[in-house]
Amino acid sequence: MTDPAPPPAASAPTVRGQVIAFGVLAALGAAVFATSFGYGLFGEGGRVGPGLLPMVTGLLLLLLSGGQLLVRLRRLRTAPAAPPADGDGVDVFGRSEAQRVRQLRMVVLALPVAVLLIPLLGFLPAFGLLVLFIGVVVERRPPLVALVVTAVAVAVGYGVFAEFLDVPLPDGLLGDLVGW
Amino acid sequence: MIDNLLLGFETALSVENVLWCFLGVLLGTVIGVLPGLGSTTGVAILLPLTLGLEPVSALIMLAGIYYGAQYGGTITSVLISTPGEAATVVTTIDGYQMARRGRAGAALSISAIGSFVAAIISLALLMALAPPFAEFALRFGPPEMLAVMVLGLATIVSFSGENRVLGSTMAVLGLVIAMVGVDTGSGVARYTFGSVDLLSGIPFVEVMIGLFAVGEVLHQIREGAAAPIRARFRELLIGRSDLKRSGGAILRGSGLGFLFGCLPGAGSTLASFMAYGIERRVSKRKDEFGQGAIEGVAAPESANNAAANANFVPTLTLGVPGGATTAVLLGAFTIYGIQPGPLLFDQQPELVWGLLASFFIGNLILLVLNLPLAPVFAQLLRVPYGYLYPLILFTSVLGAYAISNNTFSVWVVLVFGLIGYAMKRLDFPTAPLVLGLVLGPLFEKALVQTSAIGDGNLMIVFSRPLCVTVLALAVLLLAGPAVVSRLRGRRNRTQDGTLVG
Repeated sequence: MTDPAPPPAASAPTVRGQVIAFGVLAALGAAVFATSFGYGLFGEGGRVGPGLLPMVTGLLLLLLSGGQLLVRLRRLRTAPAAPPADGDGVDVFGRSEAQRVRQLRMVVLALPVAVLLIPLLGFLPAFGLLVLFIGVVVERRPPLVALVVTAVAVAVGYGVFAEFLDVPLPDGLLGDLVGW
Repeated sequence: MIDNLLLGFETALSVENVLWCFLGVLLGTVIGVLPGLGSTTGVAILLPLTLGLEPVSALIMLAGIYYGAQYGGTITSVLISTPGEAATVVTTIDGYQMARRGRAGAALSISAIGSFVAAIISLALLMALAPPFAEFALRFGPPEMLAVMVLGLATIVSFSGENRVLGSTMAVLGLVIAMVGVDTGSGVARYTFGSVDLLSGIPFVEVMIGLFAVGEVLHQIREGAAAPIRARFRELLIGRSDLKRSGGAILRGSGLGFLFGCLPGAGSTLASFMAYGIERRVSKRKDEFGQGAIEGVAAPESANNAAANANFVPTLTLGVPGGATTAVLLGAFTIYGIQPGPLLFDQQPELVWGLLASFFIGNLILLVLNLPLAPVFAQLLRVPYGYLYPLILFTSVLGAYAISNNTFSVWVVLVFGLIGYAMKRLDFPTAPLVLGLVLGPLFEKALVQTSAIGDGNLMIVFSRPLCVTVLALAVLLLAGPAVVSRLRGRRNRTQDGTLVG
């Protein structure tokens, strides 16, 4: 088999991220390995107990991640700096890399807020609000268009899930008050 | 066999099932066309829509979504060089180059034709081989199943691409995640931290929606959009010379794809890369590869589709997923209360044969739909992503909630969405994690049962010829590539020495 060209070497930020990830995974492996003994490795007559597989997989995760952590730490010293972005990393819609990172952060923060709003507003209003927030605030689309997109999404979501599939979507405190 | 086929077509050709199949193919294509989303995401996101259907109709629709999304992924691979999943990565090499030279239509056409031919060949093989294989699999007891799980894990590691250690780490992480919940052997709750929601384990479909849909959306926000290349209707007409050039590539890709797709855990990615590599080796126009060679699109696309169908061999006969998407489908089987495995062919012939027959119908719908309409689907790429991704997020969380009517599912989606995003940013493969997650409970069940049969002695696996054969295959898969590369290196060194001498 002739493989396609090998991918370029990972840049320093990627390797740094990998170092953190492997550190977390190694810690997870160590925790799983250490706690597995409490579940009992073997049952009656030496049969496999509930702790045996967690012990083995925890140890494997620790060793594999620990090994790669060391390799990445060594590689970090030789990794190339982040490649310069073409045209300041501007995408087809004219967003710079900094703008995209800001948008990502806003979406990542807005998602759990929407979930936390479910008991208060109900499922569809909470996530409808999320769609509207992303449209107007994050993506800076015309408010009227974003509102129409949100209304259609909520209506279709209600029709398919609440009516067609009979999914009991939470109404929230607001729904109870209004009597939806 | 003929009776079963007739039963299957009778089931699949009912007006209702044809409509569900059509809807599945259509929705799958639409999902596949969305940048970065592939068949695994498509099946995971749209699975909740099938909850109200009869199991056979639901599975027919999900299978339609599967191959619809695969073709949709090809459209994005060709037009914006953004594959929906790993299996279509190799299509971007020559497909995108063809598009840049104004031949996007030809690339999309040959993909549709190659996929269709591969589907028909592989389905005929699947129908012929799956029943005898299922009958043979009836001999499999827990020790044999344990050996098959080991083979599945070995396949994942062996086919993890350039970095096997990374693939192994992700597979082990999947196994670790699968340990959460009540242990079926002893009834002991593990790593639940007192949470009732975690007693039945971390929900699989929600994990898939998080990893693939939300993770991909976050990744796309960070990466930014690429400008799509326009495909026009008139360009979809494919010349006789293109067909002549692609014929052999399609047949070779189909055979290779089926062969690799039959291995549990192998998925379609390796098949597509192998088909591309072999085509490049046997082609008379080697220099055109990477510059827009039509064989470079036809071969991997055929292999990809043949492997996708062959993935159903281990899934239906052993209950072991062939790849990431069939792993999600396996989750769907469980939701509908169906246990895939060797007995399925005997116990639910209408479902199995109806599903297999629907593959023929679905692929025909796919061809009829996509040959003329690929440019229409491609227009979706022109919708600003800023409008699309909030809707993907909305559908994902709504779908996740619908599966278990529990807000906990939504939190799982968000947490695994962040994990999926981190994995994409750090170039960590997701497929080994998914397969580890699916194989974990099956592996542990087989392990516990084997230890019970052997009274604590797991070595009994080596006293059963079938186990030894399967384990030998696993060792071969693990050690084979290293041995081959060492031998190749030695041969090259010898040749270099001869030349120098």
